[in-house]
Amino acid sequence: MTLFRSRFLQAAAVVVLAFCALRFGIQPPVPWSVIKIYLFVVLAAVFIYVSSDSDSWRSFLAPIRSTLVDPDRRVLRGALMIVVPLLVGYYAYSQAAARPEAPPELRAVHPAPPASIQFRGKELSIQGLDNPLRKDAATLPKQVAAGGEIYIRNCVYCHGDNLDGHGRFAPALNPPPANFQDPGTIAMLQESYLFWRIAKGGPGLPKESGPWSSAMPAWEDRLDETRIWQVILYLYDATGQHPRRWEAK
Amino acid sequence: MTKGTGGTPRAGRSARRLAALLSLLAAVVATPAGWAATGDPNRGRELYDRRCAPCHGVKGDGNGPAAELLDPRPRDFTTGVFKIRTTSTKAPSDQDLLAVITNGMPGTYMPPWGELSETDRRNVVAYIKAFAPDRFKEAPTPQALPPVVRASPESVKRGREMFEAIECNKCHGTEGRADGPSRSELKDDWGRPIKPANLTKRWTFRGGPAPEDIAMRLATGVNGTPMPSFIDSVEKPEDIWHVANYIASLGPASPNYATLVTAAAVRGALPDDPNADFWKTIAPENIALVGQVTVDPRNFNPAIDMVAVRAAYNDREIAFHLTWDDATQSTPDPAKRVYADAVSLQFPVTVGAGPERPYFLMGDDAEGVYLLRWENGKGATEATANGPTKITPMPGSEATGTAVFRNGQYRLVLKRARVRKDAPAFAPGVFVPIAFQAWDGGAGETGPKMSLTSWYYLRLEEPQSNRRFVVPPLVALLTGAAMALIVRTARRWTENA
Repeated sequence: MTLFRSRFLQAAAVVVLAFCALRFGIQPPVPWSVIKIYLFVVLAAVFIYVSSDSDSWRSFLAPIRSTLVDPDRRVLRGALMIVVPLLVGYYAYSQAAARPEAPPELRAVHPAPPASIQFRGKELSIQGLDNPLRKDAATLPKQVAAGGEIYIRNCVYCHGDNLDGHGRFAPALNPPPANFQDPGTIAMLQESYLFWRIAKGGPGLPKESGPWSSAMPAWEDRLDETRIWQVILYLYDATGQHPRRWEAK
Repeated sequence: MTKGTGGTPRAGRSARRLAALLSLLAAVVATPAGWAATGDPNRGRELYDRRCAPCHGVKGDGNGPAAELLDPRPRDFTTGVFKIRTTSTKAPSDQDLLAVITNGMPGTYMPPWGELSETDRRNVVAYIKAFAPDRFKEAPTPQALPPVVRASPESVKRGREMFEAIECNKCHGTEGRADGPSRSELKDDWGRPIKPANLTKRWTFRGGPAPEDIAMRLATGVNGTPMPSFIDSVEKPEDIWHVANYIASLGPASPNYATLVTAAAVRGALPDDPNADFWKTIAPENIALVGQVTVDPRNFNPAIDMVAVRAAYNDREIAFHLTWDDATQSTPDPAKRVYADAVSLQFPVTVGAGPERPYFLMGDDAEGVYLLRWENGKGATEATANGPTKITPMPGSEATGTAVFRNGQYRLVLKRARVRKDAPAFAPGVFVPIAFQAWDGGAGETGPKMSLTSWYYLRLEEPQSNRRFVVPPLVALLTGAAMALIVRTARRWTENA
């Protein structure tokens, strides 16, 4: 089977297989920008492989050369000369005619918290602060239940019953409500960070996080200190996540 | 730690949903007709208390801590009355209850619980049934439907005739926008007012948007609500399918919400008439609106959930065409808690180059917003605001607003000069932050009690250039020439060798 020994066909097969694996083999689908990077690496590797010795390189070039010069490949050559410019022209058209999309909003999702905040006229140190309700293990289930009630009456509209950020109001909000199930949110934050975010809400964000866009209210107007700590307990309990601990001094 | 507004979590979610659907299908295929598998109520209880009781109550009476804030109210399981069923008997099948838990009740606060395992969901079904064991004594009988009739112009036409013949319009309205004459008298089995479904918004149908779902609702009726079974009131049994096909033709299955509004560049005049053919040439963008719950009074159950927006501009003016559903054109009467219907478009006072903008909720004391407003009976006005209760009308506004109200729908054209000194100027090619607010005065919405969006974008498209017709042929020609050159060079090399 000379067909399978052709270096050109081998190279083409590897590239096509790599593309199929990247595009259809991974769920959820990988973004195009990532596929492009991987394909570039595959192409480079294939190129190094086929050019590793002169026999291989000749075998790789043979079909390309014959397509370019052999008289009996005239039809294929002519077809390529028409099809390739048309494809490139179509690509240029699709680029020129594309409608612009909304600009991406780059914002710091978890900005550095302040060392301390003013909470209802009292200074609260965020740095090194732990949830005071965790000290009494006996009352913990009760506190979690109280937090659940606060959550369902206040937070569920945006953050959802599943705590996944898919509440009923989520479709109109940009940035979208936080997904507490995501290991990239509350699981990597200390509880006092959550206290700061809940107490001060969107308006309390620093500029790099776009305080003008976040629909998160400043809950210090509605919830006192204990109730905020209770709802934080509930967030971790309901998602099965654990808060990040302060590093031991 | 920066990120854009990516789409991958949603893709993951839809993949999970698909997986849930597939496992459901597998379950239906595996168990004969899906009626047999039963869960364990004792195991269901633990999950119920944790996940369902906050709304439905520990006793299953629909009086959980959140219940009073929700409209429609959570189901009272102790009555054993359920809306969605595919049975001709009173109670739903296990499969019906499982489907509601899995898919949620669209248009209400009941979310889909597809991420719970099927065993867990079946256990919860068993526990829910245990709240009203008497209702489930009788074995469920599947509701038979006549052979499927697929949608066709004839079927839709016949469905439309039947729609009026069996008086769907009395509650659902002539064009299906939940504005029928009986709408204000409707009560559920518990004596609470209940709204008819808006048939143009299929994505809010509690039992699903497909013609098959609609036909089943028509055949079984919706228990606990004034919606009766129509299987015996239509002329011929297959009319059920014609009506279902007609209802499905009233609107899309999904709203495809947008976050960018593009204003079309126009040479001629911008028509003031909202029904002018001109506006039909521009595709609308559907903008989702949600309740304002930051400042008091909070609006947990907003009346207006969507505005369809079109925009166009010429060298002098910019015009916005807004379409939204509202069951009544209300005349203000504060004694009855009825206020004027209204909408407003919000922009930053000055459109800057940076990402900074005023607070999305009508600005704050530090930075205000500009509002282009329209109020029923008052027309178009302009204002600046430093928060939802600090609105200052702008004197000498030249904005115009022309609205028509028909069959439960407002259509409005809001227009003003495009470039101004005292208000935001709109230039082609620039992304301008825009936000929307709406009030259904008939539902008691006024002031901060409104529905709204966070910041979206408006962009005036650049006047059509012929670049996209010139560049591509040029690129194609150049590619062809380059290829010819390669072939020639290759041939010359071969000859030399």
